[in-house]
Amino acid sequence: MKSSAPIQSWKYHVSILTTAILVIVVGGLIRNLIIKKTEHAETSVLQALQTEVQQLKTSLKRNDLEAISDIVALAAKKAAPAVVSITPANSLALPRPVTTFNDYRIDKRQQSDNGETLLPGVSGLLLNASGEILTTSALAASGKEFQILFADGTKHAAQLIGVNATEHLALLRVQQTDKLPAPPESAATTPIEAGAWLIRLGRSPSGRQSVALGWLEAIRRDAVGRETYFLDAEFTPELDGSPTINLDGQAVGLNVFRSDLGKGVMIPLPHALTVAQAIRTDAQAAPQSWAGVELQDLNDEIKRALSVSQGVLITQVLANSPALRADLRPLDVVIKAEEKTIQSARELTELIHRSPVSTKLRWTIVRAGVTRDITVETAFFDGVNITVTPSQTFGIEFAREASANGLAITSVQPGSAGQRFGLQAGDLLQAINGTAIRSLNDWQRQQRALSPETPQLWLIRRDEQSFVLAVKAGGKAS
Amino acid sequence: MSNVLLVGLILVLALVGGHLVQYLRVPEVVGYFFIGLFLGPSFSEILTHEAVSAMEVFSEIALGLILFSIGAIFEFENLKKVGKRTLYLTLYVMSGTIVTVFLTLLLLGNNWQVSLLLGVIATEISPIATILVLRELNSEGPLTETVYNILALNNVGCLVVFGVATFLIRLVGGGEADTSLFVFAGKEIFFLLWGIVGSVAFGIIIGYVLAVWGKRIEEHGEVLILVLGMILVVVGATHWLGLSPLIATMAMGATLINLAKESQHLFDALGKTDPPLYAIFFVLAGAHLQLSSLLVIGISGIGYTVARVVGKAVGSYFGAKRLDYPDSVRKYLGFTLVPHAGVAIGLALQLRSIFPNYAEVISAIILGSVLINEVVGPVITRIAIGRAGEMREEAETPSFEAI
Repeated sequence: MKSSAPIQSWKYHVSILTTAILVIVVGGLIRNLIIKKTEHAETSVLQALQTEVQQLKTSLKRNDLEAISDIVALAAKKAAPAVVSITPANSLALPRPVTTFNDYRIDKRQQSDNGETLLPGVSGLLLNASGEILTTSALAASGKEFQILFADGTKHAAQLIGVNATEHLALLRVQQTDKLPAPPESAATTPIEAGAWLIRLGRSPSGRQSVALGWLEAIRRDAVGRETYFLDAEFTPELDGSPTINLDGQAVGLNVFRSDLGKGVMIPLPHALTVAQAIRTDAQAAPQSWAGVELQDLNDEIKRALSVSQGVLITQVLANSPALRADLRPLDVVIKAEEKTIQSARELTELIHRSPVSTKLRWTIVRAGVTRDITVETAFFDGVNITVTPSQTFGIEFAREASANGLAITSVQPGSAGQRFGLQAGDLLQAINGTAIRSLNDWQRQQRALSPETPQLWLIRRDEQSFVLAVKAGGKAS
Repeated sequence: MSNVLLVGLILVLALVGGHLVQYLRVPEVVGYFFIGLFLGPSFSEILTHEAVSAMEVFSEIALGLILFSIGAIFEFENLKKVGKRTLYLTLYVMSGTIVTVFLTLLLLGNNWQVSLLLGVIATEISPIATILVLRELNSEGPLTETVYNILALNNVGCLVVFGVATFLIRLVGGGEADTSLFVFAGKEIFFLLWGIVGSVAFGIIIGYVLAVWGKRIEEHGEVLILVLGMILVVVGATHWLGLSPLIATMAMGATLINLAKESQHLFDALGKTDPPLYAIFFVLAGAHLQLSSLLVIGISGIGYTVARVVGKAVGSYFGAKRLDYPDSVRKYLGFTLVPHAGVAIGLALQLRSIFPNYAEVISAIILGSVLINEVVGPVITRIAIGRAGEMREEAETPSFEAI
């Protein structure tokens, strides 16, 4: 472009330009400021929002917790009418079983609200309008007459109908069946799965409700196919015999204390009801046959190792049992029973149970590659044989917690076998006959495996010293 | 398909399309537009949405160029002659449009915010479409002159009233909870002023730079490089600064024409080189729109389209009468102002971020209406120019004149 004479003076141009530049600069600065401020405001709004969300979350969680207690309270309320407290009618009888943790039922007596001395008791579940109550078999040792306390405070007398000790259940019946509260809806049909939240609902002799919330940890099936449900809910003494309810207030099982396991477990209600039915239909429960073996199904490796093609492995021979008398030993494989080949543990168990008491069963076993025939005469099983408790046999109590160092003895009854042989409270039992003892289970297993007549060598640790005591079971305590 | 191939296709097909429609006595831009429709997602989908978005830069450049050219209107001599009258006429046209559209939409059941926004957007007249038609028709005469003059002022006015309208609506809607009304109003006013005054100031500065620098460059081609480059710089920079590229480029053009009178031929030269850009612009505009948008505009959309034309016609009629414009202007001005496109779409898109709840409705109406207007508008313009007797035979433009 060729230059042309400017029409206006350069002062004019400069002033225009300067104004324009000023506008841009100042305006830009102000704009920047405003934008920064809005951004700042936005971030602080954002932060405020975030804090609020956090608080909401926390309060929600808190509400969740409160909701949980509401749900539990509601479920307990629904089921409460059918949960009873059972105490022996005879005030002098002390109830068994003994739990291995400090059982204040033995030592203490509870006071009710109006000062009456109460007897320690267990809980129970009212089954139906006929007044039948399902509870733990432990109270069978307390006689046959009991007093039932209901949620509304009413008391009824009840009698023991029967006991199934293997199943740890007992059935009572209330005499006067009028004016009984309604039994809870049973949830017998819906299967419970591990992880489900459940509530142990019991009643103490004072009428107070015992509520323990937990979840189903595991379901164990034993060789006979019986299921044991392990809840991680607390198991206090009065919860023995109490029902387990789900969050809807429906009873799903019965809690019993298994001294062989040293903990409380839950028996699923369908099974418990079947047992109740069995108890009911033969009030004089037909004696059940028993052989005294613990069985295990064979897998391919065991078959190869023992050179058998089918059968059932005996893992334990219990004390005082027909099997012991027939000289059966652990690791024997039962391949035939009564001319029939045995394929599974269940088969053999059913065979034993079906046979009347005192039947001579012919078994064929394989031991160390050698086949031989054995005769096992079934005996009557009253369930007590299996359960060996320290206080029964030796008059001692062990600590509840197992430890790697051994089983601690918490008390020794005066005049008991244990005291006679020199056991003291505070002793640590580390081994029996060379086998390390780390838990009550270990102890039980040893006791079952050994004959009660033979002395056992107990390795004791006391006051930093280890020594061996030869003890002998003093027989059952009552 | 590579983008390069696409652009080439666009150009070639646009030419074909443009020529085809000429047989129907329809301005070329409509042909470009149809090609765009055809290439776009509505039909052959050769131009995908992504491709269209990627080529948006062309549209921006095109808009910047056209507004730069329009800025030439603000030459002081010209302004002195026709400035006042043009201003008043523009006001007439604009108010006519706003009022008619606002009332119509309100009657059709829309809320006042939407009706106001649409009324304001309706004032927009597509500068490119209009100018291209006029160029094609090689028109001369009072009507043509008036159209050129009005275009500049009208589009500035459109942006201003748009800003004011959004400001008003935000004011009434209230600001953030923690700021007082004063502060909020203050902020809004600032942004409004910044958008307008700031853009002008920026345009002036760059215009000065252009003028000074341009004087030193002898070669014609280099001047073009400078101008084009500056325009692009302005368009880009304004986005970053929150200014209006349209106003800034217009101010730039205005500054240049006033600082260096001989730059008029520069504008002419630009006019010779920018057709490809405009062709691309229109094809893209067509590809941007979808035929389906016609279906959703509904009664409000039709009302809007009609009301807009009516508003312009009425406004220009009364304005021309009042201001003693020649008959041709009075009768036909409104109809030359029908084309409606780029800036309107841009404003509608802006609304998406400002008033998201209204943006849907408004976008739907605008897009559908633009579709109609871009097809119908140029035709009407041509008819109007023809009736006004200002059409000249198309002069032979040498096709390969050395730039």
